[in-house]
Amino acid sequence: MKRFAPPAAIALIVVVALLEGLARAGLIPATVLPAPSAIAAGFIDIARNGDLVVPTLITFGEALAATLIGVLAGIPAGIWLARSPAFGQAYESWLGGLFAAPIVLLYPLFLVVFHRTNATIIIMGAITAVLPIIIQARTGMLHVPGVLKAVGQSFNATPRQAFWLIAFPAAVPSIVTGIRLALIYSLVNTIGLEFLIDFGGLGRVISDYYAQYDIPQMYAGIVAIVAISVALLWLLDRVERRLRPA
Amino acid sequence: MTERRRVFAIQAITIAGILAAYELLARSHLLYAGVVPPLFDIAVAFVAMLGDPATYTNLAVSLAEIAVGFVLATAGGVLVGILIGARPWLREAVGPYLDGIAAAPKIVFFPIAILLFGVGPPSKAALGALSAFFPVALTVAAAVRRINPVLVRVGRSFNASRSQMIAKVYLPALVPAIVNGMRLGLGLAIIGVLLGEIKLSDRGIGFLTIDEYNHFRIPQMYATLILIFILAVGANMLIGRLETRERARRAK
Amino acid sequence: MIRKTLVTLALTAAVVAATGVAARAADTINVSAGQKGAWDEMVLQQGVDAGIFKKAGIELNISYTAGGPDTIQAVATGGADMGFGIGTTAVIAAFAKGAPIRIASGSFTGTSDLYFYTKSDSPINSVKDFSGKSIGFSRPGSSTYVAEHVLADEQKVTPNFVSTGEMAATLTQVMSGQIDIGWAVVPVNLDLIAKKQIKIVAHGSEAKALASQAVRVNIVNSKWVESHRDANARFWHAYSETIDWMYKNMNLSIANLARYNAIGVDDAKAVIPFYPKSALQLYPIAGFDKSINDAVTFKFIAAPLSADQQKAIFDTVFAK
Repeated sequence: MKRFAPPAAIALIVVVALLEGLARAGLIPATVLPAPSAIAAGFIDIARNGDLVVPTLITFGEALAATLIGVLAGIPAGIWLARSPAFGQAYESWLGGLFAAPIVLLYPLFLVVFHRTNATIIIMGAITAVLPIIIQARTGMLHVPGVLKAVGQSFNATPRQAFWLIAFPAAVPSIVTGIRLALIYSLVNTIGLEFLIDFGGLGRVISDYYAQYDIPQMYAGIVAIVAISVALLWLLDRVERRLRPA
Repeated sequence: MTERRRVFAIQAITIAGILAAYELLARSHLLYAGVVPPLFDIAVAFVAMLGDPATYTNLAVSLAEIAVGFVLATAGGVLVGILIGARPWLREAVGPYLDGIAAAPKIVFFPIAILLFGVGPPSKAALGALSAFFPVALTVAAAVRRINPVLVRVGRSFNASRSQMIAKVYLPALVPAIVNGMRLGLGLAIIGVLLGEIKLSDRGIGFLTIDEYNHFRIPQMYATLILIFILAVGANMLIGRLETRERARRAK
Repeated sequence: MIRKTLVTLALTAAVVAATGVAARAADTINVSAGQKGAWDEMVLQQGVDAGIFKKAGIELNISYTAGGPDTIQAVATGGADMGFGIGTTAVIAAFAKGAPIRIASGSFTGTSDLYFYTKSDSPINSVKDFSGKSIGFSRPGSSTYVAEHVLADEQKVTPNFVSTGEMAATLTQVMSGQIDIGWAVVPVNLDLIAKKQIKIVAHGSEAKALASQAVRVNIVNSKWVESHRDANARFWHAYSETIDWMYKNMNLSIANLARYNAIGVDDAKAVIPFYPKSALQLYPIAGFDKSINDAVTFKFIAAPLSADQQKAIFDTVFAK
């Protein structure tokens, strides 16, 4: 049974059929949630308007740039915090607190300082991305298994060797988790910000169609975002499994 | 210097450094003066804000919206998480979509919230609940899958009824996951509620922020944002400490 | 025993009658407006503060949105019964696409509340100097967008149009040199003009084609208005009365405005020249044909409204 009809596909078909039925019966107002058939038509419309491929690339570009900044700044910072216990402890609770703080609320501030440009979106995304990477890099470095360290010592490893051959590789899985989190958070924040300030890629597309009261197209955009997120998570899962030693 | 004093000194010097750097930026005229007011102006605005009764009425509204949304999200998340974790076919059917919607910014569901709950505080609570639901549900679902089968067998060997299993076996084993999910969810609930207030409201601390922005009362906007951050970070740290204490208690 | 029963019955009847009267005496209406603080958006609050709505047996729940589209959504979903100060083109587009909204009155006719400014040391002094310079507007299809395009067409200049968002973001982009000309609506930035940090280079009222066009309208939810005809009528007469009151009792209404915006009374008074009473005209809704053309020109709708649509979009108590 599973081979011919994966549960996820069945669930989708059931939900879509249900919504289509409810919409046609007039039980759900079209102004709020159009029928799936209308949303599909909206999907074709936005693709034809050129509002699908390029904005997706813009959004992903912004999120990837933000994550890259997070990686370049976060990994060294996390490692340094792991090796400087006093600083690590000093900033530990701050980082934890900032991790889920409403950074996106600062957008009016960033708007007036950095103006309505991609830079604002990328910088705000970078702030969201760098935090989990710093936290995870530090955690990974702090929890190198004692066994591995002992092995290094028995080989008279120099500090340099101890870092590059033992500690850092042991911290990689944790760092990879951090990068995964960073990518997801920066993507969510990027799209949300684009929606709020009506600028950028997919978030702006949704905001524009919302402003013009093209509700089916707006939902098509939302569906596109959800579909892309699902695809991205699946991809990350594969990559993570490949990187993780068996 | 003892470890603790060293840590404190670092924190104090860091804060002082950040404040000094900001003041330098404000005076350097690199940016338009209107958007980087001197620290003194911000401090004055902050004190004025604390003395204004309107601050507290707005704060109360937002806190109520966040609290209601958060509680509903936790309850719903635990329920759904247990359901999904316990039934593999359900997880395969619904899991990918939960992950996908979890990764979408919840502010885009703002029109649905307005339809179902009107323009007042309930719709903001709904957005907060929607935002916080996913971390709880997903963390709990993952934890249910990892429940020690020994515990389950012990419960079964006592012929425990379904409700007894839930109360005495599943829930206690899930507490750390629930607390972890709550920690992730609280931050998202705060964001969801405040962004909803920015989009449509007439009260709340998020509304206050955007109102000050619209009238270009920038020092006041800084002050309100500082207050929001102090409260949000404080709440996060509190739950974080709860989580650490839970972990320590179980390690014994 | 009989006396007791009679007294009880009488009291019960009195209570029921009283609650019946009370229930009818206070109809609650949910209203949504944009841009809190502007003179024309605050008519609702002025009417509440002056007791005019209460006298008409109406209680208002006022909420403020981040902009026209959000107000439309609030009304379309039924979250709000009425919406105020929404760009006419946006309303036309939403109606054409099936939103359950109807235009109940004009909100703002002409663009006299709008002004354009530059930094004090800018060489730009009037619309004639706009060619080749960058000018900000809030978002495509907004009244700022339309006003700027009309101004440019009328005076044959070719500025670069840049979407700058709200007034606060626009101001900083002007002050940091990113764009040359910014837009604002009084009373915002008046303090900066007084301090000579910025100067007004053009007024919205210079856009002649728009002087007789209602650029913003007020809407009602179509389902709500059909089941609340009486309350709706009472509301609009009270609203009209409030506008009369505001202009007849300027010392009170200006003091209110100062309070709403947390500014001094003198700054509030400076706003009034931008708001001739004719601008707040509720009916007729001026220049509606032109608004339909704008909606097509700026791609809000693909084709003009049909004759049926043009009749159906209105539900106003003022057409007698």
